[in-house]
Amino acid sequence: MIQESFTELKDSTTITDCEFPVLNISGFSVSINKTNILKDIDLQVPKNQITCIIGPSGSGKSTLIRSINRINDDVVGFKKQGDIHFQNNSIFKKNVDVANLRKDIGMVFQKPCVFPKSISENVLFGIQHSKKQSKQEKSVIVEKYLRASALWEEVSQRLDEKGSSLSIGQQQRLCIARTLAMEPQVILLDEPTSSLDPLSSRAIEKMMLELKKEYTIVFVTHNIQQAKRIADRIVFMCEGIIIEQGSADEIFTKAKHPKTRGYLVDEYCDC
Amino acid sequence: MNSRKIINGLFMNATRLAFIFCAVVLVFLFGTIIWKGSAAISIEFLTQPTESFGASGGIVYQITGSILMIITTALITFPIALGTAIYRSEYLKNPRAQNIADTLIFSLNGIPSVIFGIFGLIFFVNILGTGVSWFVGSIILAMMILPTLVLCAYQSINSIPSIYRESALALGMTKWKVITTVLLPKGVNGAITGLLIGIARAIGETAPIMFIATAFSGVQFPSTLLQPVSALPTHILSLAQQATNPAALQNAWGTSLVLVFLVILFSLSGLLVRLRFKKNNI
Repeated sequence: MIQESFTELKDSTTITDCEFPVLNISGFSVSINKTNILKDIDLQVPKNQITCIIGPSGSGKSTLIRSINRINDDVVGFKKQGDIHFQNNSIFKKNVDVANLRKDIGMVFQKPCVFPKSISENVLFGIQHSKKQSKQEKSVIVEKYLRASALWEEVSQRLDEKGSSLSIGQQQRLCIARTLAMEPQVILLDEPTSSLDPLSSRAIEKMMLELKKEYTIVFVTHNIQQAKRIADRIVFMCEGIIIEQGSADEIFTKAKHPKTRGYLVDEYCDC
Repeated sequence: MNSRKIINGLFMNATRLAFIFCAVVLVFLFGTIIWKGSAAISIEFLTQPTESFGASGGIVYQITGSILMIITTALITFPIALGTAIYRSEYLKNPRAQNIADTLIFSLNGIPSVIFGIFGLIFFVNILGTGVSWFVGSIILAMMILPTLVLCAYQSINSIPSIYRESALALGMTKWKVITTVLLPKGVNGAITGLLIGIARAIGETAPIMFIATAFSGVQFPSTLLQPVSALPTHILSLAQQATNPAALQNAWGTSLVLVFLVILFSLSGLLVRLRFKKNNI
């Protein structure tokens, strides 16, 4: 099994520095109601790095990362081909417990979505259903992950207030804290800063650079500057196809494909 | 003056007229019931059993009978409606099956209440041999108001943005957990709204229960599920049939007033319950 994945790696020409992929996406295609959204995606996500998926809207970035934790399962008319391996196991195998998979692969969405509960209850929202904890343990968790998401200083005095009383930027960090509390191995972020002000966006970017020491991060963005600031690896997608991928240095300094070069300059792509 | 302004004014006044008409009808109805009914109301009227077919005595067993049937109706409908709404919203994904389900729910809503009565008579009383029973009456009333509750609960569950479901699922929660912690509070809220509308309708219904659940006189509080009760709407019907007797007519007004008061009471308590749920709502 391991042997196989190594030979696969050697065969791959585009990926050179990806030795221990946490996620291995191979020949992955998706259609929704018979419209092709993703075509033959091959992508490996290395451990403890930030992989940024960039591309114009409608390029299939969201569909791709929403497939990684199988949130797309419930979409009516969703059909896929190919496979995604998480730690060398197919996530689409029959015996996979999807709920457990999502505990390992957390996700933060474009729009922050806090539950109608207090700030601390929001942090505990997911974890309280998988583990029983004492009051003491709970408050430890709340503090730990609010600190990890750079929110503790702002909310430590009002943990019992409603989560919805926070600003949008703070709410998004609360959503990240909630995801971190599940102690996932991978965090998927689907344009998490697109509805935020620049200051909150920067706070989240800074947090990502901190978090990658412990987590593997897949970050979808259409903001090229943002990708430049945080990415270790860049995946450029257009019209459901990966046009080019490689280390951030490589892509930003000497992208091979003219479409990639065009997109990095104009933020526009006529694929 | 240009024609657009005239049309504008005409339209505004037409809607205002409709509103005034609506208000006048309501005030007239309530006014008459209170005016005529209050003369009949007394402590004895509310606490004594009926005598001489309603012309004298009180309506205590009609009140308890109606309340008993309505509460049982609510208890039967509520969980079934909530379950149906959740299934329709969260599990039924095939568009054709959705269509069929909706058609069934709407058709059930469109059945005239007297048909429910006849169905109850044939199915429960004749085929199953239950006899005239308040519990069967509750079952029939529950069937009658079920679509209202289902639709209200479904609409409130379905109006929860899908991002809440996805966020909860993305935290590794099972579908069951998502439903009970995220969707149900809102669904309960909607079902209570439906219950208010449904109960206000069911408590005043005569046709579905008159053959199968109620007796017109000589009935006390039931001691088993299979006994008849007296109810307020059927009592009003029997009093109205003796309208030549002024004492009976006055008691008919009095009973109507009590019925309207009960509807208001149920509506208010429903609103209070809903307010309590609202705190933790999306």
